[in-house]
Amino acid sequence: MKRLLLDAADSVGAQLASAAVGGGRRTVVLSGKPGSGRSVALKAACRSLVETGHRPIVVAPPERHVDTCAVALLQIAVSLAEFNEFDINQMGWHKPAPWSQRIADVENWLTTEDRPQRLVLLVDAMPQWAIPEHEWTTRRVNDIRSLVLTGRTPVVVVGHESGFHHDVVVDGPSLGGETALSDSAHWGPLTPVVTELRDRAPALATGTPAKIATVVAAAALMSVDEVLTWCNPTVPTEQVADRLADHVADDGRLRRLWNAWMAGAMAREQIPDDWVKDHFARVTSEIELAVLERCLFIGGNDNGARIEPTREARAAAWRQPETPFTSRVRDRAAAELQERYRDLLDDAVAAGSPSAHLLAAEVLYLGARIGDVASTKVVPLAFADQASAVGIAAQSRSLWAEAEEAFERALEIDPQDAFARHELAFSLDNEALEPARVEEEYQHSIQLEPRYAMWHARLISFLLVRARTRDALDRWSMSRSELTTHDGTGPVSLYEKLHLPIAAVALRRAELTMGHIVLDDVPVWARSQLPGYQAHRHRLDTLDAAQTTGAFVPAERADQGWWKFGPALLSERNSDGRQLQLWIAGGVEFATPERIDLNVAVIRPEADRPQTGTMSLAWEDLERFALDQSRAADLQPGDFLEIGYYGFGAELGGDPTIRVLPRTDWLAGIETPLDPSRYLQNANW
Amino acid sequence: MSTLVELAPLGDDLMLVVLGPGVGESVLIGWPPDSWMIVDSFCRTAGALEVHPAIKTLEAFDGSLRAVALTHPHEDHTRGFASLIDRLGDGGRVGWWPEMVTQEGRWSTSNAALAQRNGANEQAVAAIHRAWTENPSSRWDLIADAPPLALGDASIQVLTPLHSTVEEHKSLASPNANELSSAMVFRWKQCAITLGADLVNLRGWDQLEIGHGPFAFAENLAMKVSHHGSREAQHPVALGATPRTERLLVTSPYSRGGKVPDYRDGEDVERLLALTDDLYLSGHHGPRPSHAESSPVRRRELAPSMLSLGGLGEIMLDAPQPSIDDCWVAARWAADGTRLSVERGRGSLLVVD
Repeated sequence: MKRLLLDAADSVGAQLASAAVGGGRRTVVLSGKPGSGRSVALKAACRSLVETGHRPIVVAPPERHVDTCAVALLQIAVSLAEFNEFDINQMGWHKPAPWSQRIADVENWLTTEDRPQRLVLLVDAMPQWAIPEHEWTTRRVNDIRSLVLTGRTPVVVVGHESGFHHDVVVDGPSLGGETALSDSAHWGPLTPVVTELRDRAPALATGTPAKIATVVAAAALMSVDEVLTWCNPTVPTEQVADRLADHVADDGRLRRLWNAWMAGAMAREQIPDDWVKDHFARVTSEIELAVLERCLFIGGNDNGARIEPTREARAAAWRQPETPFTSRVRDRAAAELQERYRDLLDDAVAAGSPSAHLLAAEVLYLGARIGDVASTKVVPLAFADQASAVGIAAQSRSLWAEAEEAFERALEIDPQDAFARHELAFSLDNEALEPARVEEEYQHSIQLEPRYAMWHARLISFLLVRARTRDALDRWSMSRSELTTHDGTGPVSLYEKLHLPIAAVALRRAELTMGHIVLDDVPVWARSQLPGYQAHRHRLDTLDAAQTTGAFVPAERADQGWWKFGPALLSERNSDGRQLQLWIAGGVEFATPERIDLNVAVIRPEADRPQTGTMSLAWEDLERFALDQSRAADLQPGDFLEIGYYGFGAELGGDPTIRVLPRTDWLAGIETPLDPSRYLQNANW
Repeated sequence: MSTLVELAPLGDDLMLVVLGPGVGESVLIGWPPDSWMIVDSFCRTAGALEVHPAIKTLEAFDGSLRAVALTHPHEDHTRGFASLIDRLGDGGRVGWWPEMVTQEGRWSTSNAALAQRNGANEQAVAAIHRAWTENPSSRWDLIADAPPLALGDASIQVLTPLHSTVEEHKSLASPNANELSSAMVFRWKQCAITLGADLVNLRGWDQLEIGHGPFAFAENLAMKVSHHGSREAQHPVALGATPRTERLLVTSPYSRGGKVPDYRDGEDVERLLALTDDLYLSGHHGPRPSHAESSPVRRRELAPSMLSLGGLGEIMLDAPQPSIDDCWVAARWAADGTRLSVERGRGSLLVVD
């Protein structure tokens, strides 16, 4: 069955790729219902494009938000010579930039005709584009729509009701199918439901995370018997959600149970939070609460628990200027949530309440989400998941001691709770405390639950950070064999969650051997589907080259044929018509009060390869010939400059021209999740 | 000419091995029966393979690693240092400054060489931090006035940094790690060898002369010359002022920007040749005369190829480099201080004037 689904995805992907590059078409739209396998088809299209010599660029989750998508486009357009990586935590997302400027830059890129290689931009599903609840969202969506429709770069947009015409439609029951219902132990209060569902209808227990989550929710809120009367694997996720919404529309008790379920499920990352965001609104059928959800989820972490209680903080997370409309909605929604939370808290702590567990679960859910960690402590805890939810909320607010305490409570309730054990280790690791215990708890959690690649990645990164490279390599080998199938491969998500984070730490620490081992392990077929792979590989290659010869040009320009690109700032011809005859690219190795020492590459237009060497440059010469005086005066080791000699024909004459390159933060897009120097900083080293 | 791994076992002798192909330096000292100390580290990556000459040497001699020391946090001394710590035996000592004075380098940079340098330094310091916190008895403070470290029959006296130098650097916006680097004297029986690290004169050897006298360490049997033999690191307190033919001077070159040593008249190498007949370089960054493997080379034969840029000076062009496995010099002494041999790899040089 799964094979058939993947074959179908390949077929749709091939159609998509063909439509993208054939017939001069610039924009191709893939449509399909949620859970129908759009993303899988997109990946197949990506593979197909690679095989036919194109260079697809994927804007994948979590870059699907309107604003981040624009920033991603911008990053491709202006920051990188070729696709590197989108990391919303590190990009211009944090750097205020006028939308008009941002969109102008993107437009400029998209409409550029001279491109060394044809690019195909694949934008993975943006369902929220179709639900513009705010004026500013609508405007931005329209901006991007018009850009991709008029641009000269082939763009494949995958979306649902996104306003584009549809070129290719995915209409399968679920091409996704990569997720299976996880161990029932992870579903907290819903464990009996999940167990029953899995036993009686195993076919319903596979599918996309969204499908599984919806079916489980329906089974919990109705009954497994009832669900089995109308639900089967071919029923689209959306239809299940419709049934569910109808069922719970007027039932407050069920809504609370829904909330309780979400608390556990979200903590377990069982469902993507953008899906929750959209479907929560459907289930509750309350527009205000839906808007509230949208407000609160923006800035949320993977567990959806990072909620800032103040309007200012939420606005900061949203990264948008307040408008009277958004301000009014947020105030109203926040007040409602606070009020509801207080009522529930009172109920929950009242002795003898027949539904104490149910109420407690919801209180914990809401309390965690509005960040009231202290109040949630008064709620009687029956499940380890509840304590973990508090811990996750505390983590998201950087209350590490609170988080550790919460996870300790979870472990008192259930010492075999792998999640709490792992998050306890992560909290301690974050603070660079008790490294021996961190290692022990990481190891223990993986013993209990070996399937989470991210957990392995955290342990291996910890070992690298502690400069235990040999141990890290040993653990890497073990993890790799535990997480891959008999042929030594795994799904793309494995490489995303295990390989790339480890590679990032290894490269940061100049452990190039480990960098090679880890990145070489990513199968060729997975590389094009893995956002970030090229960025890490490029960085590793550049570090390798720098190890041999030093660095002459900024890393983003370093490439096998970089000297053929021509100078960065020097012009090919100067004002009196003389041609650039000799170009010297230099990296500053050392600076003294008298001179700067440079590693240089001497490039002549007719040469196949540059000559390398070293030279010293007196400050007075630098000041005399540099066109960028302010940057020249601040030259430091690690900076770059270019020296050019101009002449007619073969003649070299006159004074040199020196340009100093502006300083850039090339590595910003590949930061590690935690600062590798944290243990040193904690010890004040 | 043999390879390093083919050398005779340690036996009853003292052995000094200086490794250094052009970027990276590691000094090994072995003494009976099988004890070794390694000062500084470098390694190279070739795809998924790592070449770590110091470890290769240690394994070739089947040595017991008693101590490792990091003289200062520069990439050509730090790379692969964590791997050395991993190979320490029980009771092994890890030498490092008692406090971190320099915080060199930006991590967020577009310069790959700098990124690599910062990463290697951070990894080395992280390894030391781990060793010292997990096993406090491994701690060996590299600071002047610390009591000599006794390792069996051997002892190591740390000369620098001086406390006053450390204090002075704390107030500097850009502390200079070379001025703080830890020079030391290794003693075994009648033998004494000076390990000059990258110590330069200002706030380094100059200050040592004040405390120890004008030629305090010039009588030692041998010296790993400081800072790749650069002129700014040559000082009478370590090198003396008159030729002494029995004294062995070994240095490793640095072949990146501001290449050292300088072979021109009146510069680094000529000055060193005025002080000894036995000047060895573990590697060389310019063109190599064909007879260099088997016989001494004259200083002037080592002039690098230059590209003149008129008024802007000239570019010293890189030359093909030998394998890092060939860039070494190894010397042996008997317990009474008699030098028994000096051997060297194909990439090394014996220089005469």
